Amino acid sequence: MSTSIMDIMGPVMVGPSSSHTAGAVNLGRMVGAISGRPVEKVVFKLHGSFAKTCQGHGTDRALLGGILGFKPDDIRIKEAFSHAQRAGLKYEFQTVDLKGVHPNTVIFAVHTIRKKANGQSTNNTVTIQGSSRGGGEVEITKINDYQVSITGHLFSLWIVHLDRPGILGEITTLLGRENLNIASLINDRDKEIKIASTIIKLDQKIPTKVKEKIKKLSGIKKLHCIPTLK
Amino acid sequence: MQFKSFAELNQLAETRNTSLLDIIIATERKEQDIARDELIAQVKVHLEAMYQAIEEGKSKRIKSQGGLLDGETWKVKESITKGQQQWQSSLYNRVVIAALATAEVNASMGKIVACPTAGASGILPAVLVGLSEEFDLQEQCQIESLITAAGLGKIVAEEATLSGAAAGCQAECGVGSAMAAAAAVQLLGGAKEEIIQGFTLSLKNLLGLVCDPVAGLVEVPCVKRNAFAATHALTAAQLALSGVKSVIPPDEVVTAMSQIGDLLPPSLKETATGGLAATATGKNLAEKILGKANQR
Repeated sequence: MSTSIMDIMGPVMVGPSSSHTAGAVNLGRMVGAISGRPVEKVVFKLHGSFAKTCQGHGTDRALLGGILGFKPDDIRIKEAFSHAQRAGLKYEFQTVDLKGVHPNTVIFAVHTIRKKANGQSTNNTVTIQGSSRGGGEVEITKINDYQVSITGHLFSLWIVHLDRPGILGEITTLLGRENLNIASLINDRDKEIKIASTIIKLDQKIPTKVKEKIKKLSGIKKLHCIPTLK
Repeated sequence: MQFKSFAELNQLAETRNTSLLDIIIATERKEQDIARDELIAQVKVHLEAMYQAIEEGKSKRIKSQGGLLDGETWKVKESITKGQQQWQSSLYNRVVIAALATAEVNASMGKIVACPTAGASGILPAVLVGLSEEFDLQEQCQIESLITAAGLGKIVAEEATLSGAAAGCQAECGVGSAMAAAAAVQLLGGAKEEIIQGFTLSLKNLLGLVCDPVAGLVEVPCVKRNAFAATHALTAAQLALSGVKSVIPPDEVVTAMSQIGDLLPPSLKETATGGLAATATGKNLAEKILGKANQR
């Protein structure tokens, strides 16, 4: 699709930088959606230009605001530290030196606690890596040890499953039966532990009943729906 | 895109005997599958956000997020209040204040409209709002001039770039000033050829502008540059409305911008390693700011 004139006279956003502020908010939003909210604790590991100019660009507040679910034009971003405190979200900023990645890259170590129906709770930690590519555009490139590519333009399904023959066919058949069109599919696997990760991008939002059907397939370990950034 | 160049846009408007605005709206409606009313409503939201940013920037003394700037708008406003700037026209004073105000709001994590980018967000709004307030122009005219300016900016975005990291500040403040000039010419009743000339003259004169921000922040020289680029747009509009034409046609100016962008070394494209950022003072300031950040 070609550029909209609204992108030339916009977006409306909290400054000062589309890549270091608006993009950082969008990365935080994607990460919050992937890990699930509420988030208990995040450790942000900033690389390159993100690490160097973090404070002056408000990249730290922007990342944190995104985790809280703020959009790039939300004026609460500037006060994200106090909003995080009120929400009981703990955070820590570190710097890291990565090789061969975009200069505006950050690794999120996200800790969540889920209360189950029986009153017990489960602790989860997920590590997510992403880059801000300019103009507020972002890409999630890694979830735990799996290579992915999620940009928030389309609805995405992230599925972790057993690396067994036929499983992708079963998933895509279920989607096809519901008339859900697949825009792209990326698969990566860990051969040793026989676990694979699949990202399916869809033209439409996936209905809950389809999600439940996929979860019931044999060998599905984890399934997450990742919304668009709109 | 229905038009890929200024020549094609102008040709379309000539053939159909209509304005640039109509061609730009028709193209947007077709490409983005959007109704006219919906598009106008969206533009109105952006226009209102421009006004809000200017008001916010004028309402208080602002210190920038990185700490390099402190109350630049405030200083100019005080000076005008004291009657020290009466040698300038009222319009000129309005435009300078509005540009500084938006750029300072941006530098302090306030809400702005990245038109065409966050770093160059003060230029077009300053000219548009300055003229509208000075001459009490209707909102409909303001919305329409914003659409035309964005339509022309889009040609540069698609045929070259609007990114300082890709082509230096000419692609940000240069294009911002060009869009502001186009908006001004339209608001002042200029013909389509004059609108395109305003854009071209303004961009042409800012070719080669580098992006060398101190400590990598959108503060020095960015905030003040917004005021310069805004008044620069007034000159371009004045020339265009007088029938002055760029000897180099608009599409060739865009090609030149693109080529200059490619020739610029990476140190002058938003990496904060050359130019002002690499001066003794620039480096000292960077060290202070980065040192503070590392102590956190």
